[in-house]
Amino acid sequence: MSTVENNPTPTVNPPESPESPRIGVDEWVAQAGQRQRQERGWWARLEQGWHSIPLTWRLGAAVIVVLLFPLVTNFAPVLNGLGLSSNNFIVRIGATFLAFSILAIGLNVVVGYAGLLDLGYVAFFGLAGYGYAYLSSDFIGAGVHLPSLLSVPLIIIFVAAIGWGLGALSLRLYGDYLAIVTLGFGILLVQLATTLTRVSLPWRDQPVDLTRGPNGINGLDNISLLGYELTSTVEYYYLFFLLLIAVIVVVYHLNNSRVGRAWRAMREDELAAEVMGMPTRRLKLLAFATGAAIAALSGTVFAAWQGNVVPNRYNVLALIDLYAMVVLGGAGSLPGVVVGAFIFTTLPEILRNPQLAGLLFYIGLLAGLIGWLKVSWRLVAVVGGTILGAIIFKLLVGAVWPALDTGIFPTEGSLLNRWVQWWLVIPPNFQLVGNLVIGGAVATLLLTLVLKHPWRWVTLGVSVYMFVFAWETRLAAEPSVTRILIVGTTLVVLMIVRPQGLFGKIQVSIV
Amino acid sequence: MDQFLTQLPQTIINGLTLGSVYAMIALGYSMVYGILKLLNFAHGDVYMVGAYIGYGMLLLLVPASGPLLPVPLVILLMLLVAMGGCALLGMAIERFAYRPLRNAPRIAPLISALGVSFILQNVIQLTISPRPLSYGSGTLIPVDSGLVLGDFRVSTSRLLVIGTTILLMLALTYFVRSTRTGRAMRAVAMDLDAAAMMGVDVDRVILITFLLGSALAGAAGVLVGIVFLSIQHTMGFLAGLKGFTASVVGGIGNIPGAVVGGLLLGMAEAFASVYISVTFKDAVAFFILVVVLLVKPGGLLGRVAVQKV
Repeated sequence: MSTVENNPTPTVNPPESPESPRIGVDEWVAQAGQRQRQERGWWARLEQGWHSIPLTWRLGAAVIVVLLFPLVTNFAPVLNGLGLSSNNFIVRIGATFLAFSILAIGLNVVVGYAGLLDLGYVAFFGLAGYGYAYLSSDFIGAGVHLPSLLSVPLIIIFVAAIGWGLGALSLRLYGDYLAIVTLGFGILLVQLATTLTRVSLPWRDQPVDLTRGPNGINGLDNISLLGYELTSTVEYYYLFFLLLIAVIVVVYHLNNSRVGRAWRAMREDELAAEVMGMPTRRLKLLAFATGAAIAALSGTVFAAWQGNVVPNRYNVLALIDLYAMVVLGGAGSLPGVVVGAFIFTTLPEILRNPQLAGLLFYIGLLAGLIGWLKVSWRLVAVVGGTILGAIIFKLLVGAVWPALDTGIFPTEGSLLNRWVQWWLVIPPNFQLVGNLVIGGAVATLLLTLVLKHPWRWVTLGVSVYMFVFAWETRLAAEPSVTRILIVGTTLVVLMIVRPQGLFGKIQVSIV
Repeated sequence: MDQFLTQLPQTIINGLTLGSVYAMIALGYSMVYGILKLLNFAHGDVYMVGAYIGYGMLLLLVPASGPLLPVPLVILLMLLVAMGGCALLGMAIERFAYRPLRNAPRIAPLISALGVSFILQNVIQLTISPRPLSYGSGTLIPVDSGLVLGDFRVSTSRLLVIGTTILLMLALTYFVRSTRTGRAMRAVAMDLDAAAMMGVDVDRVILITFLLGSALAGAAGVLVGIVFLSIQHTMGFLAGLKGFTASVVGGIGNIPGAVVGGLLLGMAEAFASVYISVTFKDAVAFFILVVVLLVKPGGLLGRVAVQKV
């Protein structure tokens, strides 16, 4: 009898691997959702393929790529291919990516593991920068120049203490109050850094400049390790890499420890965790302090690398960027966060190049349409219909009112651009029209979402046309604003479509 | 001491003006939070958009040659169009950015709200101007006009702000207290599920809440433009933060509380910038928030929320 029970009939549902639980038992039922997810979608297949490679190989490959990156890009053929004279620019992007990865991992500890919405996180990054400026520049008195191996740990301890303090202050607040207090804290610090230029202290006759205002403090010392001073960007790149590895190792083990498990329990249900005897107060404070310490580590080295600190680097914009990184990758997932940091640090650089930006835009547009309509006749109809309609519109305009179509393109160059040119009408005052069309594009897109009628595929086509028009006339010309628009849109759309991020796991909340 | 006394009346008027604006923003936050428990970060930016709509109306109705309509009518139209535009915007935000997330984890709508806030700011920056715009309302309301009371003067624009605020508050209170929809709003705020079971159309009530809150924010944006004469695409974030602070200070989800909180915050800020230092005027709001939350977490007029499981 027992043999029959142990070998369920393979015709019903063949077991995937010997370890998978028997069909019908509780574990098998519990995994039903997971199995369903695994079996469909190209993304799932990609993920499965990726996970079938041994972990050490995957990590090793990543390490080798990052290690070799500055060397490869320094080759003459590669440099010529990219049209650069030195690889300084690329390595700088790489170093920024590594620095922001560290930061995002710190935020991930607070938000992803402990589930605390800390909107003042960038303040710790900034505090560390200013702390380093005070301890390693000519700013105070005749100049304070502590050795880095002393000043960096000092700053980390100091900032972690402030994180602990802010946590203690806001501990009595649950959920949203925590968010607002920390956000206020962050904004306040940036404001103080901008305005504290004439502070009268009781023991000094003249007002004292504490921060040098919006211009910030310049001339910070380089990091020096036991007498070896880091001067070039490549050296900082490798330092950031070492720090990133260290942080990942620490955070990984922290997450798999008692503390990490307690954090997750607290995130899922604070009350239950407390009832189980977990010290939620201490756990929250610990999460805050850990996040702050990681931010401080990245902040000091980042300030030393840049050689200056300016208040604007630490404003809400940076915070949104960081949140976008963590959320896109998937809060709680280390590789996800690093991928998120990679996307959002390289994105602005790509947008700065009009050709790449155009390519990215059209690929993104198409990917969005495919994601929505799937690969179907409807997709072909919408894309084809849009282009066909646009050509008819252009011919009509040419016949009725030729002055409306100048045919002069505001952005020049890329292949796609030339391809778009023959179906887009560009009026003489295209900037004004473009501004209006941005609103029209969003409005028609939202209309498409509401309409249930088949007409919505027409409005979708109109919307696509308007987006292309807005891109060519306005968005491509303003990369800094466009980047923030993309970040904002990513946050909203991602929350609606895939709240767990690219790499995160779906959290089933049982009420 | 002399200086203190001479500056006192003006400071109080300034505080009342600021406080009225904060109160109007706070109401939107407070109503939305009361119903959805959602921190609507985009609310401050709705207020900013209101200021820009008012600016557009001002350009339209008051060309260089002079106002096309009588001045009170111009101001009324500015207010009405801005309120209408913001109401539409607020409803669209609710419909598209928050409604799909009604059952998502708590953190999701918050992040979505941050995203909406940044989209609004940057669309305005891209399509209108990255620089501050000057609200040339000096041509509408002469700067030296106003109510003279002994040694000091209350300018007309400040009277306008305070008066409009009182009017709108009364209208809102009437709406929430005495109409059918107002009763539905209170019911949903008290218990969303129970209200839905009693046949209240929860989605519609939430839309109306966003409509009302956003309209008030739009009015606040126009009034701020008229009084302080300068608007910028970044003005919403800090104002929104202070509006939220005001609603928390007064007791979140509580309409008179939002007004009290707003006035208190405005007063504190006005006094701080005169008697301490302008540098710390924003710090004061934050300080008050932290102190109130620590001492009386339910806010001044609110009841302490008992967490039920």
